Amino acid sequence: MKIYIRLNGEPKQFECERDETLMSLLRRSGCWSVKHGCETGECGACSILLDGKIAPTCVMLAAQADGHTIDTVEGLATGHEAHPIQQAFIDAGAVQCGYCTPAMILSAKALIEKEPRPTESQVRDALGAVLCRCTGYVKPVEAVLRAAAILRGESVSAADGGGLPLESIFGPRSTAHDPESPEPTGGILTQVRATPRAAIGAQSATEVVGKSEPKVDAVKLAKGRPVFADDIDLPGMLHAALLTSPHAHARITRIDASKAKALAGVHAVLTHKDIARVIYASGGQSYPNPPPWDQVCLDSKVRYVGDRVAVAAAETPEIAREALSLIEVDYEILPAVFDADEAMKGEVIIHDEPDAVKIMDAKHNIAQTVHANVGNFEKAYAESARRYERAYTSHQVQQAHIEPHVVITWWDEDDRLVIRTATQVPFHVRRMIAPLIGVPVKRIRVIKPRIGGGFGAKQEMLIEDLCAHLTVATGRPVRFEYSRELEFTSSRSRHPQKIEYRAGVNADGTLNALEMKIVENTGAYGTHGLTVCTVSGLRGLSTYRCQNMHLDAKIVYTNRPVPGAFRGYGAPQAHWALESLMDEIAVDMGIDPVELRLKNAVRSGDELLLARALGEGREGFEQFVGSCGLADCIAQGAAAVGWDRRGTGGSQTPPNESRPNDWRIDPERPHIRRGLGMAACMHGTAIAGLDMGAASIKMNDDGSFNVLVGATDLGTGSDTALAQIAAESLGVPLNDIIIYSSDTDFTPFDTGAYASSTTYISGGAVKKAAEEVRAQIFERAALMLGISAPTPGPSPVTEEHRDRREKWNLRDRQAIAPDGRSVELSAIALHSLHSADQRQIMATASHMSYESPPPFAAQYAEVEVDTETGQVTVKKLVMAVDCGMAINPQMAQGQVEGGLAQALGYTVSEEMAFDDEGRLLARRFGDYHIFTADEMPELQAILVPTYEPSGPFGAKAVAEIPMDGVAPAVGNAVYHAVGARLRDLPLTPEKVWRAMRSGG
Amino acid sequence: MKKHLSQYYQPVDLPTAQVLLDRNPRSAVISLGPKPPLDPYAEVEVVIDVGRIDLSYVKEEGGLIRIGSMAPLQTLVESPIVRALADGILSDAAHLSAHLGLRHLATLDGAIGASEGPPEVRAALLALEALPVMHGAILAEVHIAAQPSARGAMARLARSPRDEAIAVACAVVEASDGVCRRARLVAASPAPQRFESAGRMLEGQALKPERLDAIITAVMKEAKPVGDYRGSEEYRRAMIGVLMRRALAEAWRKTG
Repeated sequence: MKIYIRLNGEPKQFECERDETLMSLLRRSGCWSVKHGCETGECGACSILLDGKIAPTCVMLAAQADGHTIDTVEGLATGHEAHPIQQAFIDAGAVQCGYCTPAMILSAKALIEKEPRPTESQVRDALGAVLCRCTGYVKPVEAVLRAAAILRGESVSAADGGGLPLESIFGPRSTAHDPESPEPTGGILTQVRATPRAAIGAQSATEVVGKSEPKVDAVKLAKGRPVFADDIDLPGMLHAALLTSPHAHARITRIDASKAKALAGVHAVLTHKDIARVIYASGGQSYPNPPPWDQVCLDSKVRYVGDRVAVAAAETPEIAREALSLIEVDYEILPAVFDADEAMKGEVIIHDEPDAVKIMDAKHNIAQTVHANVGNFEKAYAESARRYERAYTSHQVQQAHIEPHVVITWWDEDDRLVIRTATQVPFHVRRMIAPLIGVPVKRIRVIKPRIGGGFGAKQEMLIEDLCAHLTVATGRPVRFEYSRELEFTSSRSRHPQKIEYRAGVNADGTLNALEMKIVENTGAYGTHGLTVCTVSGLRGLSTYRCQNMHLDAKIVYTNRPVPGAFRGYGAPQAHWALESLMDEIAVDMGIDPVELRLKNAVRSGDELLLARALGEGREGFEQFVGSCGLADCIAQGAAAVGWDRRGTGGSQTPPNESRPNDWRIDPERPHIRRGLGMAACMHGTAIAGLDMGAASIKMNDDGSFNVLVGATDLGTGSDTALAQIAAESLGVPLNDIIIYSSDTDFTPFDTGAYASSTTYISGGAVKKAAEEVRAQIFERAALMLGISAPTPGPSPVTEEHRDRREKWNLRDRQAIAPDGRSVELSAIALHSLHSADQRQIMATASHMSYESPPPFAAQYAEVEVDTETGQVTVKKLVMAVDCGMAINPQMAQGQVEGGLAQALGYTVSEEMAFDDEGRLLARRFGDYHIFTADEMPELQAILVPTYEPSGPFGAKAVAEIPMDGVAPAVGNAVYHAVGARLRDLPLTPEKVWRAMRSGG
Repeated sequence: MKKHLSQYYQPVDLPTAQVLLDRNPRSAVISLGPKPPLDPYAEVEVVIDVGRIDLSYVKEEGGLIRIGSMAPLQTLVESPIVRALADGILSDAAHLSAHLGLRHLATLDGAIGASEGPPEVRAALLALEALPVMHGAILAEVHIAAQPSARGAMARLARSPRDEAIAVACAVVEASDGVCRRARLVAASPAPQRFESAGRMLEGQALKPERLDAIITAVMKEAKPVGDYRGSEEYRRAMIGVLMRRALAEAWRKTG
């Protein structure tokens, strides 16, 4: 049927099917800014302005738009210009992965046109129309308020995002030390700030690093340009659909796809009978993948509701789905087990296939085990003045990135298989997929475009293999995108764990013995199970000094959907248990929780004893704490949250109504009690001795540089951080760096975006490559100036050689000789490329580290607990983070804010709940519910700078640690408020209510 | 969406819409609720888009508030007429039902017709004694008495402020001289339920603590909560009591 729409100001006629959604029509008409995030209108990523009002298009038929006006961000500003709202989003750092950004910008536009002077509440209501999993909404709210002010004609201050020059804090030293009272770079960003919080002095040691530069990809994301995996259309492209198991555990006794194959428009239907059986592990991890290897692309047995059964490719998504309905499957339903303790009884055997590799004890469903000992735990425990035994449980939650898993595969003109995919691990995908599809690595090219969030779920070769199989089978391009329901039922999630602690404490409050027993539910397959559990053990036994420790962990199969990598990777589970335990010890011993932590926390120079006893799926080795700003984090966080309201000693008990002015009691709401809680956090920076990244840098005719990295920016801003490192090293502004990531044909290897590694590992590679390019530039400049050049140095560069080079300088696009003369970089480039002794100035470098310098953080939470309902309302979250030197403070803050929002959902509401048959109950955003802009508590992210000597420009990780402390801090605050101790996540109203009724 | 739809009609008046609806048993009026179902037209061959019929109004005429069935939920949020009704419980209910984008698309008809999802709008309508006005099988509008003396309150419990409610309670009270003339009590956990006899316990009375206790006891006894992963039946029943106590006390306080 024909419809007429005024689209972005132009009257247009469209031909559409009666049942085509408006989202589909707009995307195929070139409005790529309209994003698919769900099919029920709940995420809002597909929203447009319909007659000036924000509205999701996935729940509208295209025909409903007939006669209406539609605006998308494509119509906001043309060419290279940005609309003031887009610019405000860029300046405020409100763009992270950018997938939801166009919809947010449109909602902001509608609001500002209606209400030029919006309140924060109105802004939050408007942004509530769009789910964002990256930002925590702090910076988007700030962006809208800024934009409104700008559009009113008011002047606003620069959105500096904080940041301090390195030298103003540390001086010229390069070794780790404790900074003297550095100013925090954080702040509450929900209001437009009148003044920058930190001035950049002329003495600054860095010109680009340490500054809140706009993200290098922010403009294209804010303008909604087609940069994501699904934002292309290929001639003859087919669409894939996946048939999944309705049973938690069953054997496929018969499968007949003949009717499906006969359906017009169907080009392939694949079942286990059509694909070679090759054992693998789907986690995107370094070679060889950690055990067990217990998966095949399609199997004759299904092990959870949502497991793969068959896949079809057809000319439209609708035909592909209809084909699935024609596949006849007979199942022999087997008993299922969902609880890890039950599974270990061995009454149900989930992996009885003979070809699985390195399953520890298949008869008892034990995929792997982890053991480690330090000192003599039992003896020390027996001799301790106080002994504690506590058990804590954590739950299964979903990453809920807004961009679903999506991949497009095709044969290129050289008969090489191209895989364009939303992945965090393009190089692992290339290596891992090759044996599964029978195509050698050299004939596979993996392209990673922009990614709409991943949070670990895309550190998995989840659907690329099936899509590739379909291209191999049909010879046609195939597109395979998960629906939101499949994201919930058939993607990855966080491992649920039961953690039992035994702690022996000396009379003075120091830890003497600490034991951690973990039972981890790895669902139907063991992907990431071993390494997640190892990280849990490492994090659960490393934050505090203790000479006698024991770790015993079991990774157990059940018939639940499969957990995998999820931001934090075992640390949130461990911190939930450890930091709850520390609070319990503090309460029992009458010690302030802060004091207890400071008394026991590791310090600079301490060896991480568990790291030697453990590896991450391999041999462990010595690791030490380098930079450590935990004490400062604790102090600054405490000041920000008003920890001194807690007092000491007796105030750890519930509020006393007879005591006047107790801030924990609200006279207007007598059923409300308030509380404060905290947690200390320590994470890692990359996997020591394993993660590796490489970078190539080449100089262009105009003195600009291409930086090619295999690193994978999944929305965190790592491309920007790496470009800043390159720009700083090469003495040019950020816009002279053209960074590209990642394409296995063009960019050098990188393990990928996980384990908080990119800034540290890939950044190290960029810095090394830049140093080599610097040397070449100096050589060329010397040649041009007719003076002696610094000799080529050894690799790695020695201190002596560095000193000689440092007499040269690169600054302001010039190479400056020791005698003060200088040459423009553009002149150097032209001379090198075109004039004499011609060669390309370029270098490639790799970097790995045997250190994993821990970032530290102090997490604080203020809560209100409804004593009649058990409802916990988090009023404020403060996290003070030592991430070394933030390469880009604004982005680092954004990472913290977004992580806090995600951790908040983990704590109080998000949960993958199942029925008795193992069917997931919440299969859509509306039921699962992630936090929206209009219900967020106040967030405060404080960056506490230290200098990490092993990191590029003093940096270490920031991306994952925000996940670690919210749950225990909120749990401890609930105890402080009402005296109820909860040891089982999430802290739902009913659990809190029952805990209060049972006396805590 | 599957390719089932054979016809798409855009009638300009209700009689035509009704004729079209009657013509094919597998036809449906396009009407979105606050929690849209997946593939809403899976069983439908003909859809009837009533967007060209003026059914989005909110009017007050002769003591009667008339709300067009296709009034978007956001219209209920913003309408001064609806906001003035029993202290705006229907406006608040609409606001809590969905995010702004969905509130622009979801209609009163969609909220009423939804078999699951946020119960606030249905609960508020029940408490306001809203009456549907049908045109054949099509909901044309909803009538609510203006009830200027009615005071209302809603109490709600959820895992987070914008999450779907575990339980909701609405109370609409009319009183004069410290005596209740009418009290309408509704709770949803998740399906809305009117507690008429409990409401009558307050009529002719002042809301004293012991009276409130008795009413809440009656409500909890009569309630038919259904447990799910958000909350067990036992918990929901207890929460209906807590929330109804709050809603009724607040509505009563406003009458003073």
